[in-house]
Parts: sequence; C-alpha cells; structure tokens
Amino acid sequence: MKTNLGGTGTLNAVVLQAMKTNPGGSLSPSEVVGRDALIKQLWRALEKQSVVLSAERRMGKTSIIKKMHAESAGKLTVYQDLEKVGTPREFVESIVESVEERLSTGKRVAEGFRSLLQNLHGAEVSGIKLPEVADREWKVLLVAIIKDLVAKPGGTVYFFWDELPLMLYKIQKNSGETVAMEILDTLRSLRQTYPLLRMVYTGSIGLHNVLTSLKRAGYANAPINDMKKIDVPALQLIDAENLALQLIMGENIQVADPQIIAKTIAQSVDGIAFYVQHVVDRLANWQGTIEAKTIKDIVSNYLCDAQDPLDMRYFQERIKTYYLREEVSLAYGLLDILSTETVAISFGNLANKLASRMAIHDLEAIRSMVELLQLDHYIQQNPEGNYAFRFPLIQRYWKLNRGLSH
Amino acid sequence: MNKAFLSRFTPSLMSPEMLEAIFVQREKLAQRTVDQIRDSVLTQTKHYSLLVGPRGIGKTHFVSLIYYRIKKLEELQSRLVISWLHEDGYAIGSFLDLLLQIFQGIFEENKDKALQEKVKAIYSLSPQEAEAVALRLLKEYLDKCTLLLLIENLDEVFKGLSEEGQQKLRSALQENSFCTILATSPALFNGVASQTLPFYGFFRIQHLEGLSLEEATNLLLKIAEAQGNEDLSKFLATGLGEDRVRVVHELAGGSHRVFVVFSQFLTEKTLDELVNAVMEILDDLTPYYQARMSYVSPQQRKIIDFLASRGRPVPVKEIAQYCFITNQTTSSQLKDLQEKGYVSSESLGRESWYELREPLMRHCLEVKKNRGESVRLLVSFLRGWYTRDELEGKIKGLPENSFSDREYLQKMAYGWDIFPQNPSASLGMIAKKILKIFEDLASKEALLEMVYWQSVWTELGEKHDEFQIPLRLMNAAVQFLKGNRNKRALMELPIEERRIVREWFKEKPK
Ligand SMILES: Nc1ncnc2c1ncn2[C@@H]1O[C@H](COP(=O)(O)OP(=O)(O)OP(=O)(O)O)[C@@H](O)[C@H]1O
Ligand SMILES: [Mg+2]
Repeated sequence: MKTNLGGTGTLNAVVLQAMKTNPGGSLSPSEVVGRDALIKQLWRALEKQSVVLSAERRMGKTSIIKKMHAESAGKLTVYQDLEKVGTPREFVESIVESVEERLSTGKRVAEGFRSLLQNLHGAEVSGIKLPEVADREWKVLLVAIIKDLVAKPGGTVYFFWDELPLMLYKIQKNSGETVAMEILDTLRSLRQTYPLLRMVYTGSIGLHNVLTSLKRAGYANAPINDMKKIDVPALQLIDAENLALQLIMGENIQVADPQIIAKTIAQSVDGIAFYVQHVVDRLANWQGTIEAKTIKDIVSNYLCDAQDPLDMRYFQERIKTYYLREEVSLAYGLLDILSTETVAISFGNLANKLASRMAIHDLEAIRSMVELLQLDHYIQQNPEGNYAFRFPLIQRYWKLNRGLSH
Repeated sequence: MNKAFLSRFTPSLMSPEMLEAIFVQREKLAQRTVDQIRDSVLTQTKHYSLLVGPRGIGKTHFVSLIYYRIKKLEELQSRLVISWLHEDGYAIGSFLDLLLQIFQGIFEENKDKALQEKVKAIYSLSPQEAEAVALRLLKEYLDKCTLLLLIENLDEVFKGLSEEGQQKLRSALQENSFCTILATSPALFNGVASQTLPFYGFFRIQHLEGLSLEEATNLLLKIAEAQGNEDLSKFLATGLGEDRVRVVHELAGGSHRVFVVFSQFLTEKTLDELVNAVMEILDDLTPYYQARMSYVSPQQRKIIDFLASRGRPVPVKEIAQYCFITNQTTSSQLKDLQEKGYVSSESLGRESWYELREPLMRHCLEVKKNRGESVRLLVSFLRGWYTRDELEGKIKGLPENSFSDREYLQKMAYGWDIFPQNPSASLGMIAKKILKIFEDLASKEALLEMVYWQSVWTELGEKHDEFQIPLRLMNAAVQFLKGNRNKRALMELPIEERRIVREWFKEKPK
C-alpha cells in the first residue's frame, strides 16, 4: 500500500510505504527511514576520506551502512561484521573471503595475495582458512590482499566494517595491546598508500573506548586522525513521525487520528527509530482504544518495567563494563546531577554540584569525564556551552532508575 | 496417526488439525508471527522472535502450529527452507555444531540427499575449516531462499555457543540476512538480556502469559469438542462447569499443560465431582514435575523441596538457614528460580518472601508424604467455596450491623449442633456456609463479631477435617485485623488460601 501524504503538491510530499514493525531485526534497505540525507552526507565525505561512524547502541548504524552497501550500484563495496573475528589471522581471512565472494568472477581475484601466501606457507593453500604462518605474517598478507583489490579496475573500494571496535577489543584481550595497535596502524598506512581505498569504522561499542585503553598501555599514535568522524543522530522528528505512521499502517492498527498518534510516538521517544519500532509493536498487541495518552503511558511503563523492553539498562551497564573502575563513580555522579536538571547547566555549575557530593581533587579529571560522556552520547553541549543529557528519554530513565525522582 | 490424538507432553507429535482445533488465547500473536515470517521470506527484512515463558505454557504448541501454517502457504515454498531444532536430543557446543544441527534439521525436512553428501564431507575437515566450509555451504544452499530457523530452548543453545559462538552467529546473521528465527526459552537469559553481549536488543521478545480462567475453560471446551465429548462440552459451557475449572485454575495457575492433562480425566461426571480427577492429574504430573527438577541445580532443588514442605511463603533468611546456604546465594538462586517460573515472591517491608508458584507442583511433590489426604480436603473445600449459589445473595442481604442478625448465625450453629440428627447437610456444606457468613463479617471488618464466631466454630469444628481450612482462614483473617491489617498474618497461608482471604479485605499482593 502506498499513500501520498501531504498531497498539497508541495515539493516535500512524502511517499509512505506501509511496513511491519521489526524492533531489532534486519531491515530491508527500503525500510530504513529518514536516513537519506545522512547517507548522502556520508558518500560525500567518502569522496575525500574514510569515516568513523559513531552512535549510541541500536541507533541504526548497521542499518545505515547496510543500506549504503545494498544501494551502491556501480561502486565496489564490502560489508563485514567483524565481531566474529578474534585474531589478526581471522581478520585477513575474513577480508579474503568477503572479497572473493564479492568479486566472484569464477577466477580467483587475489592473485598477488595467493602467491605470497604460497611462498610463505611453502605449499599451495586450498581451504578457506589460512595456514598458521598467517599468524606471524598477517601484516604483509593484509597489505597484499588490499593491494590486489585496489589494483582492480573500477575505481574506489569501500570497506564497511561493522563492529570493528569489538574486534579490536577481542584481539587486545587475546593477543595483547600491541597487536591491536598494529592493526590500527596498518590500516591507517594502507589508507595513506592507496588513494582509492576507503574505510568506514563503526560498531556497538565506541572506538574511543578501545583507543583509551590502548593509550593507557602506551599507544601514542593517532590511528584515526585522517578519518572524518560522523555521528548518527536520532531521526528528525518528522522522519520518526513518518516511520511511526508507516508502521501503524503496516500493522493495521486502528486509531482515530494516525497523524497525532505518530507524532506523539516520535516525540515521546526523542525520535529514536528503535524505540518507535518497539512502541508500535506494543500497539499492535494492544487491547482497547489507543489515544495519545496510551502512548505516554506505554513509554512511562517501559522506563520502569523490570523486563526493560527498551534495553535502557544498557546505559548503566556499559559504564561499568567499559570505563575504568575508578571512573565509574565520577561518571555516575555527573549523570546523576544532570538527570535532575531541567535545563542545561554550565561546567562550573556542574563541578560545583559534584563537589557537594564527593571529594574533588582534580578538575581535569571531571573535564575529561565530561568529554568521554559526550563521546559516548550520554550528554551534549549546547551552543551556549552548557551541558545536558542528549536524550530526555534517557535522562528520565536515569533519574527513575537511580532513585532520584521524588 | 489419529488426527484427534492429544499429546500431553510433546505437542509436536500432534496433527495440524488438532493443534488448530484446541488453540486458544494466542490467535493474534500467531497471525502476526506468520506475517513476520512471510515478510522475511518474501522481502529482505528478517525478523527474529523469541517467546519466553515457563515450561508447560504452550511454547512448543505455538511453534508447531506456526510451522504447519507456514507450510501451507504456497507462495512461500519455493523460497523457503525450514530447519527445526527440537527440544531435546541436540548438543550444541560451538557455532559449528549449530550449523551441523541446522543441516540436520533441513535434511529432516526435505530429505535432500545431495546436501547430505556435502555435509558428510565436512566431517573430514579440521574444526576451523569445517566451520568456514559449513557456513559457506549453507549460504550456497540457501542461494536466494530464506532459512526459517525454529529453535526451542534457545537459552541452552546460547549457553552451548558461549560468547564466541554467539558472536559468530550474529556476524553471520548481520552479514547475510538469510535467516529468520522463531525461538523459545523458559526464561530470559544472559545472552539476550546482558547489555554487553552481542544479541542484546536483537530479538523481539514476547513474554507468554498463562491462561486466564476463561481461556482455560475455553481450552477444555475445545478439547472436549475435538474429541466428540458432547456431555462434557455442554457442562463446561455452564456456570457450574466454569466453577469447577476455577478450582483447577487456582491450583495450577494458567499452565496449558496441566489443563491438557486434566482434560484427559474429564467427563461431565468426573469434572463435577472433581476430587478424583485432580488426584489423577497429580498422579500423572508427578513424573513431569520431577523431570522439571532436573533443569535446576542441586542447590535450587533443595530450595524447592524446602518450600514445598513449608507450604507457605518463607523469608529469604529462613530459607538460607534451613538449606545451609548463604543469604546472598539463596537470594540469587531464588531470583533465578523466579525467572524460570518455579517460585513467586512477595515483599513484606524490606523482606522478600518466596513460595512455589504453582500450588499444584507443591502438592505433587508433597503428595506421597500424606497419601494425598490434604489435597483431597483442599480440593473439596475449594470446590465448595467456588460454587456459586444463592447463599451469597442471602448473606449480602443481611443488614449492615449484622450482629443484630445473630439469629441467623445462631441457627447455623444450631444446625451444626443437631447435625448428627440431620445427615442431609454434609460437614463440608456447613463449613462453607459458615465461612461465607464469616466472609461477610470480614469484608465489613467487624472484628469483634469475627472473634466471637471464630471461637464458637473452633470449639465446634476443631476435630473435623472439613473445618481445618475454614478455621485456618478465620484465624488468619482475625490476626490480620488485630494487627492493624498486618500482612504477615496472611503469610501463614499457602498461596491458594491466601487469595481467598485477600479477596475479603480487598488486599492486593505486593
Ligand atoms: N532508519 C530506521 N528506520 C526504521 N527503523 C530503524 C532505523 N534505524 C534503526 N531502526 C530500528 O532499530 C534497530 C537497530 O538498528 P541497527 O541494528 O541498525 O542499530 P545499530 O546502531 O547498528 O545497533 P548496535 O549498536 O547494537 O550494533 C533495527 O532493527 C530497527 O528496528
Ligand atoms: Mg550494529
């Protein structure tokens, strides 16, 4: 079913396509709503340089890069989910496999790579898995396969690497910090060497989480300073509203005024697509009439539901997982304070309030924590320089679950 | 296979007709699930659903039903490959094992000999190579088709996969979008509930609810119809029939399995008489409940046994003490048992009190100790209590200050006095009538009168089994009011009795 909304003949008339809710699943490219402008921006950035794409979990990173990959007619793109990778050898292996799969012209693509491998191994290598020698020689092999690839006619090669930080995290755990750093360095030097090579790093944990721990281990390089950092924001309210509307249509939900319901949904979840999906999914199972108030109740209930359907606990847990132990109370303290503020507050004000709850020795520590919380999308700085939670919904959640609301 | 065959423990053995015939409560969910699978097969969208609910709540029935509905959709068949990983009999310890099980499931479905040969060849490889080859084979085999993966006990599968296997699985799903999943699990588990693990937020999680009284009656009705038992279906459609079902509902909660088992002992007569039918369910379910115990750790088992023997809620501290486990461990074991649907909790002040969630399970575990006498008493008491009759109207009609209407009550006492000469009224009936009057007093919080009648009836009824439960309820109610609505007094009662007293006072559990 296609409906033409806003049929006043204006240029912004949107074609709405009915679709089923799918919270958490894989979307087909046409179901990724409201990301066209961002995707355009990404392609434009990629004309010049590689990109680090970052966002909160479940914000839609994967959907975006998969859509770019699927709709990249005429471009040579490779999409890989790297969380399965735990060693450099496996990294090379998975690149070889994806590349050969993507370019399956019957003939092996990676000729240079194959002959190098044979030399190193001392015999022909037939299987998918690489021989042990690749554990030691992964660097030259990685360079070789990329070199083969960019030598193909057809212009720029794009790698979409999902969950790259998770891979680095695992490699760091399995093989130590040095190896993880070497991977980052090698990739950077490949980008420097081959002007037709582009990479997109993204993943469910922030790259900076891994970089911070590498720095602590003495890593001084800046392995992504040549890349453009792009944040995935929540959807524009109008897009979130359209998404809600399309889902309401797709699920055949009976409401008096779909527009108003859709708008309420979009607003009450701050335009976050994943939550829009959840709320409409809930409506699809709803018994009884649905009004704007129903939506508000659903969202409020979500926030205190022990089953945590919106996966909000993540915002607390990840601090415990990825931050240093001594940082946790500082991070919690700052967020506790901000969660009860109704307007954005200045750094000085924030530090003052913090000082009234814990001993502060070092203003710089607070400053860098504020920065980290920004990188992790908990908080943001407005044009006046004041700080507030990035999403009111998450602020509400924080306040509730830390027992700070009266 | 007999089409009307009703399997009590393995719904996957039932015919699609029978699965449909007795399906209640979840039609909307079924339709949505089918739609989602259809969408996943016909478009690039892929849905991943996880149904969560304790054992016996109808997960396998649901999955089987969906399976047959999907198989009936002509338009899907050329683009669909199904693999169904059944409940038991599979041991998955790695991503490779999972892939091999998937092939096994595909083979069971379509007997594709060529595929089987190719899978065989995998076994000659090293595990790492085998895994890569198996994944590639699966991709090639599916080509443009979508795999519908039905997985029961996903929690076990995830445990076997461990974090590494889970990561490989998620990678494969993200990279290929070749598979839609309908999975079940008796409880939420770390793999999907822990924020830092790969599958967080990945599944559409659906918590399955137990049957309401109405739905349970409806289920029995449908079974009676499917099996051509007309007398029974007529009886079930009456108010009295529903009253009888209510007793089982109070004891069993909304467990589908219990009602399916129950249905097998039912005729109009046995349902009406009830006591023997319930004794039969107990007998039939005992091995089942014992088997359920094998899903929990020895420590948890000990806790369950202890709770069964107590027969009423117990605070954590006391459980810890009697099981010789630390408070902290006890707490976490209880939380786990609660998630799995074995126990329920109530908080009293700052303390949590726990008990077995299904009274029936408790009775099953305890039945041997007293040869079932207490269950018989309980069932006949509940049967009487939950039978609607005119008495209620009469009592409700008593004036506000019922003390003045003591005459009626005295007549009741008198009736009791002359009982030996009046065998037409059974002890059970008298006990119920008295308790109904007491209920009326309680709902008016007429403490003085309650105390008075409690003492009268204790004296008169104490020696009789039929009075045990009513007297216990009276006592709890009096203590409750004496203590200024002290909830602790209610904790002396098992869950099914507590519910009755609670209704008198319109008390809600916390
Ligand atoms: N633009 C969109 N339109 C519609 N739904 C969306 C959109 N973006 C995200 N979603 C919803 O959010 C879910 C998560 O999206 P996605 O997997 O792309 O997030 P992610 O940022 O990659 O998550 P993670 O951090 O866990 O890897 C999707 O399954 C879908 O339900
Ligand atoms: Mg992702």
